[in-house]
Amino acid sequence: MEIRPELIALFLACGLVTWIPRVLPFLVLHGLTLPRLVTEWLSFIPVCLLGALFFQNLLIAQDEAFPTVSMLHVFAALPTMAVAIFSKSLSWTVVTGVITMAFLRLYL
Amino acid sequence: MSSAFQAGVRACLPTVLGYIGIGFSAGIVGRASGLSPLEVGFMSVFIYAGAAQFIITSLLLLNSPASAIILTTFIVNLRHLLMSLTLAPHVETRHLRDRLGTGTLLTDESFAVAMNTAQKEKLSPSFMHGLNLTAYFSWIVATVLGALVGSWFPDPERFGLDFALTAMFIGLLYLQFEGERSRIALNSCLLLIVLLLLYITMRYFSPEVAVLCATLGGASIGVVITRWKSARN
Repeated sequence: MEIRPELIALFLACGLVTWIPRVLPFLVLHGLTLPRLVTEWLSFIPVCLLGALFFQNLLIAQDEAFPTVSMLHVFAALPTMAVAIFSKSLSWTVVTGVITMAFLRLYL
Repeated sequence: MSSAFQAGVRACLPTVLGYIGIGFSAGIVGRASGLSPLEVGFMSVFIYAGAAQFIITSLLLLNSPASAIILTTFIVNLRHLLMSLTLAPHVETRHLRDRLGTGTLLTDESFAVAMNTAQKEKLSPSFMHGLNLTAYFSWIVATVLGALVGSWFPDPERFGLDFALTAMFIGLLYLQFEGERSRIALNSCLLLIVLLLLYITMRYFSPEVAVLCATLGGASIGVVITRWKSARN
């Protein structure tokens, strides 16, 4: 099977620049007590980041213009959200999302 | 195997389905772009980041220079800095290798699962390793499998597999909301602000940079609102 050394080198470099932001806080923050303002700020990161990642999946970036909304993704997101709320199960949520999207792509 | 490690593995299981769906698609796309299954495997082992791997594959197809690919990967994955910053104070350990290990295998999903668990209990390194290693293993297997059988499924989007990622974000976001019942109103308000910030910043920056800006802005406004409310009371 083919392995191109220059590709592996590229992946290693990409891995390195991914790794540094991942581990840096674990090295620097150890033993430090963060000021309350900072911990308060950090406490909002999970909801804001997950929200931003979710919304980014519903938007389509445009050149030199505001993004547009992908109605396909919005329609697939609605039943997925309903299942997330009622089942409180991540697995069912993912299964519902994938099946809904497959259906929408088949019939739209 | 410690019970904390097993608890970590169990906590990861609900997200495994998502990793398999996305990883499988990533493998198929990689193969379709001319990467061998082994190369796809190395990519997952070294980089281990879903969105970035899709982007790297498409840049390779466009013959982008290595420097551009590395810079793009850095920007796309910079959000890990925020997650790592948020998570690090919750992981209790004196050992350097535990901290390095926990940070090295951090993903959007393992971050969300860990923060959800942190609402109930302190996070032990064994728990984090169980969670992270299960995710890492699932991702590598799924991407290589996708690359191996890729030629049978020329179009993974037809099966809705690409939406596994969005669906996982929906589920993880809901669980985070559930765990922060005391501030549901504030969180809902912040979500609207994040959406607005994302919409505006996507006009001027790449989607990945826009996600960072919207998150930073949203969290800052969250602090301002809390401080303003407590000052009034």
